Amino acid sequence: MIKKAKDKNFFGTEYLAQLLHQKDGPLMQELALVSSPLGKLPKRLLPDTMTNMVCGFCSTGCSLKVHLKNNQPVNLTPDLEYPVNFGEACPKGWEALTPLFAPDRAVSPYIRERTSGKLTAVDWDTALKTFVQRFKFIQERYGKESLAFLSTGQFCTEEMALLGALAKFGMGIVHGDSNTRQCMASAAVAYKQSFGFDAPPYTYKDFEESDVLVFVGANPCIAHPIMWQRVCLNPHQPKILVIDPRKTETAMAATRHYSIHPKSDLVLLYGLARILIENNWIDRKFIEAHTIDFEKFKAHVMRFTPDFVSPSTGLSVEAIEEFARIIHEGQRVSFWWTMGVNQSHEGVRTAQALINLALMTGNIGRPGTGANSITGQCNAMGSRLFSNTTNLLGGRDFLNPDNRNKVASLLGIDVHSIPAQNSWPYDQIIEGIIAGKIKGLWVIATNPAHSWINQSEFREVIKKLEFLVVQDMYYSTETAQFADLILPAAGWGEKEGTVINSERRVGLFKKVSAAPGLALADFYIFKLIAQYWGCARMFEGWFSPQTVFQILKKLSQGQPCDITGIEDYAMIDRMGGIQWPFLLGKELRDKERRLFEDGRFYYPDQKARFIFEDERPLPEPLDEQFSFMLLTGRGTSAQWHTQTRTEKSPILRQLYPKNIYVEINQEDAAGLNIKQDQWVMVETKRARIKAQAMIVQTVRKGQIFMPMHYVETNKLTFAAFDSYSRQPSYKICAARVAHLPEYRI
Amino acid sequence: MSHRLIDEYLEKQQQFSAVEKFALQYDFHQLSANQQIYEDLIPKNTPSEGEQYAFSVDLDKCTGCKACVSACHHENGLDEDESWRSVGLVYGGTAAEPAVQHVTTACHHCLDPACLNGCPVNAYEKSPITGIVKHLDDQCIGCQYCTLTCPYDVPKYSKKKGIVHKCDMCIGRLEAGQAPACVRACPSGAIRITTVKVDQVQKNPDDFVAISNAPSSRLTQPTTRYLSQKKEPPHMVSADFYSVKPAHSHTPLIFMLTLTQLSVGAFVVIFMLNHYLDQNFKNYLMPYYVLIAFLAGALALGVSVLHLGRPFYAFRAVIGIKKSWLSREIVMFGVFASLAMCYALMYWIGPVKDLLNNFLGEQFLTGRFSNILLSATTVFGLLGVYCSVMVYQKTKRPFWDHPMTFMKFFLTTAILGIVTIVLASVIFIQMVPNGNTDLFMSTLTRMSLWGIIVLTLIKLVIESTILFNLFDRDMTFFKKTAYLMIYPLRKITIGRYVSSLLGAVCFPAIILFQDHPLSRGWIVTLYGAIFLLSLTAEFLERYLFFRTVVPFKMPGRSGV
Repeated sequence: MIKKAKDKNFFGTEYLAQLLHQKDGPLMQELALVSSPLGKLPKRLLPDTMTNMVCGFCSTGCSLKVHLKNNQPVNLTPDLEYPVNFGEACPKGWEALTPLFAPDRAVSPYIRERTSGKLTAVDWDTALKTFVQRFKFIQERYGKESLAFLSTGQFCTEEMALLGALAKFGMGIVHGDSNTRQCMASAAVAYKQSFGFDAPPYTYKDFEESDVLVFVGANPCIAHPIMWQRVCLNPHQPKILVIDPRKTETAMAATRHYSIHPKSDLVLLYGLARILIENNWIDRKFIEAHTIDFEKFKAHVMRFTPDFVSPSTGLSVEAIEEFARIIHEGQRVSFWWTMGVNQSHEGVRTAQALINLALMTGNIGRPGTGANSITGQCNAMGSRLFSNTTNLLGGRDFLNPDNRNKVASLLGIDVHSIPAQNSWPYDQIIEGIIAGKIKGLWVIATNPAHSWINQSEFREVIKKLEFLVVQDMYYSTETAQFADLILPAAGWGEKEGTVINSERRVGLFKKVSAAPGLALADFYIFKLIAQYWGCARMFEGWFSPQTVFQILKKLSQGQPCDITGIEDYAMIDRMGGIQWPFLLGKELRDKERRLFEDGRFYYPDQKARFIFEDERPLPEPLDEQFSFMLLTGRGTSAQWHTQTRTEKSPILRQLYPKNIYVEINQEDAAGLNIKQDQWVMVETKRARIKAQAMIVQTVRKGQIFMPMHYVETNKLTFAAFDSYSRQPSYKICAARVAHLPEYRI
Repeated sequence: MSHRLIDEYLEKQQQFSAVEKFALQYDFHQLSANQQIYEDLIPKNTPSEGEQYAFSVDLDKCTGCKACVSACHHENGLDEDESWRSVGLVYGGTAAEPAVQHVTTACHHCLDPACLNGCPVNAYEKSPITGIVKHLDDQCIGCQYCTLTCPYDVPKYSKKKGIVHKCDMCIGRLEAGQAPACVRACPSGAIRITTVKVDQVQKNPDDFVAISNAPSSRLTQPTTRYLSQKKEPPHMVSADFYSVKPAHSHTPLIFMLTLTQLSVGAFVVIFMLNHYLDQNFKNYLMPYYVLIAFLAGALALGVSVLHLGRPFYAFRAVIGIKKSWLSREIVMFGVFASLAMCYALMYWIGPVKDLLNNFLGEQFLTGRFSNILLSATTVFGLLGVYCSVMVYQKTKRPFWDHPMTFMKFFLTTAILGIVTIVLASVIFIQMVPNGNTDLFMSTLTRMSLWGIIVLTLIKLVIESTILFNLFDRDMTFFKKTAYLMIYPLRKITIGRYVSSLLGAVCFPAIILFQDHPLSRGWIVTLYGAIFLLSLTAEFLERYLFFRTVVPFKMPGRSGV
């Protein structure tokens, strides 16, 4: 009957009507939504199963629910129940799967012939033999210390630990550092000196519980949108105070924006401390019970009178006094900072000035308080504890014989295989290459030929190496283009392991996608290198990421970062991530925990330190010729660091300008007769580059701003470092802007 | 041993532990949680009489993270670079109070949607209940006219699929009580769905999409509301306001417009010559005139089909005739081409001629029927050109919605009509052995040559008036057009003027003012040059017509 009716309609009016006006059909069906447990989803992408995993971009550590169909990841949605992101993600998170399928993935090891520059694909056996032969040759010829590695904050803690142990205990490498040096070394040192251990004290719940939030050198609206989401969930109508030379998105959303002179933050914070002390707006009881050196600090800040601070910062005396009063009147004040503080020539002291404010007002260890460093990379926090670079495994000290013995016994290795000296930090490794002391370099999952400060010099320097190995997902990174040997690595989503986010939450990476070609998880690559190097026996117990996690637990025991209470990956998965510390035998009652609720810090006397110092002049002063302050920072939320991954996504590419641009104040632009979108020259003493002008009011007169994601930016930056953390001071240098035709590039 | 380890790891690398170990069972508790969180961002009930759904954006909450753009792409399963939401930027303020504001935008589901009004195939529907403007993908022929008419740059053409796509406010989700993708994805809850009163939008259109440099809400009565508790900072300007970029060239449309106008112009000239020429000329020349005129029209329509993403469905264009000028244009030119073909057939197909002669008498062919057919062809052709004018005027883009468009299109019609027929004349004049060559040459040709000189100069002057806008103090639409002509498209502009001045002014003047009769070779060369240069000049003019138009749009971002 039905068939007949259909036939009847074939030449009937219905068919004609349909031919002329087709309201539904295959094209509509292609986008039709169908019901699923995640709500309506496109039929084509309906998953047959799902799994949650932590995002591999930033340190927020959002959980993403990956949709799988026929064992292939087809889509994702942010996890609704994870106590970090509650169902939301930034555009990078939504696009996290796309970079895995880029055409420039390294699909086999490659060897470069130095004279022709030609890359040849080789098998793993050849690659590993070459790796071992070349590096051993260098070590034999120039000594063990002539080999160094530069690692990352982007892969799993288990991989970091294996790399650190393999390189330092197995291969005899002394000098190794990580790109985390570039983003949070200052915060790590500040915490270590002030609290006795590198321990960011907060939980994201504090964003919701403060009544005053102070953001310094932080633009979470763009850099950490999901943390900003937590600020938006704050029901207390908090006062939001933002210290930033630029009127950022976060400054726009703030109650007060303090547009200080670049790098005058330390002076401002000491000035605030003075006002608080002068007015007795401090928590005497807390200071006496839980801190030392307050009186010295008090004496130090007395010189920072409002009349002194005002001209140094560019703020009015009234504004500074009001700022202090808001801190005083707040019941739960939290201080947050990011790279504006860390990437500075005096970043450690500035971070500690914030810690001091929190300590002296008793704003620590209570809900909605804290001196809180927002971290950068997804596993920078794992790197701080377990990368075996600056610290010995588990946040220990290479120079401490007890610590070495402890680690040796825990790992069942000879204590003499543990170096009794500290590693050179990143900048000194590069100095070492210049001095001819480092001859072989192994770069893993980082891109210094783009990101290192004073990049042009770096590019020249690495040519001095006798052998450069780059281990990465892509053969196309700026650094891989210099490599003698490229080892193809599996990426996020293609391997498993744990990472630790900004609030100390251990989260899980899972394997949901096949790695392309011969690419291997970094974990397997390290295991193979151990095998070929001849030190495999040392890592027999390091069988898989899961077994290494058990080793990490052992290493953490008794340390502030104790995670012995975490059974295994399944428990992390089940609990929605677990923050450290979590001790064996404890019950996990609260999913969001902060540190120091008992006021006990990690020094043997359990007291926090007030640490302070005089402010220092700008590393590169302005002069007549270079009269602009060049600021750098994040461009958009769609860009991640050197863009090796985010530039692979056609969606993300739409969300940021393709060409490098320089933000310049309207008045300066008028003075220089520069028009919107015009190509201009930006020059420092290191280099001159071309950039498109973006004329704004949000950057102050005399300042210009360039995003760090474009490869040219770090040709301009000035290589100055914080003397305690050795973190590069990316944020400021002297520059000039001019019309293009004056020059030839 | 080592080899075995490599193989073992390569094998392990391809195994999927996570899926088996940690796969989540479909969890219906999840669904309810999902709804609970987002249900306060969508209306509880469907709109009542006189209401419709609308987006509402809290500007104070939008921080420019752009998660909505990514989420729209993923939740709707769109093409790899496709998203129905975008985020633009406005900034300004004062030195003391600088301001920056991101603006998330998608379809505004207008009360008077320009996409729907212009669509030649009725591929848009506005739901009488929800007010959502929905695109019927299977009905779309890929003419892309909606991408020109929508002042918000909402419909996006997919070359791969040959159709446009646009936001449907996730109607499927709303019907199921779920929040649209962008609404659910905003970390700060800045986007929500509300109901608006239709008469409120009609009464106060300016309250909707009230964003600096956004198109006037009077054009289409959009329904999206942008809200802010703050006082709007002064001097706000969209980040791309000063970035002037050439628009899409729509190459097939350049050819289609120029050649249809040539064809119609030729028929107008033929129509006039029909009375003027004596029988002798007619017998020789008419068939060629008609053939050339018809072929130009046929070629134009053939090329125009290339512009369609799905040309096989072009016939659907008849159904939009009630409201769509594009539909009317297609129908008019369809009728014009059919009539022109009939007219040409009469001259060229012997049997047809004989048949008509036998049945209707010899007089008929050259007499009334022929005249009626020619008149009808000409009239439909002119109507078609008028429809072309309206197609572009209806976009309301200032450069197109200007009397200049009317003058340009009809002057091209006149110039190319004359040039084509003059050319045909002089080439074929050589074949007339005993005709009144002198008279023909001296009167008609001279008239034609004068005609194109005068018309071309008028046209050039009219077109050049736009350049005065370079002196505008504000960055007006016309100033941007002039800027595009002078800077990025300078070579094209120069080419347009030079070819026109040479081909349609200098060479005709040379012929008119030379004292000695020209040799046959010179005649062919000069007239050939007049034809080719004039045609090139009009192509270039039309190229500039498309590329220097400045469309309306929501604020975008700066840079490229």
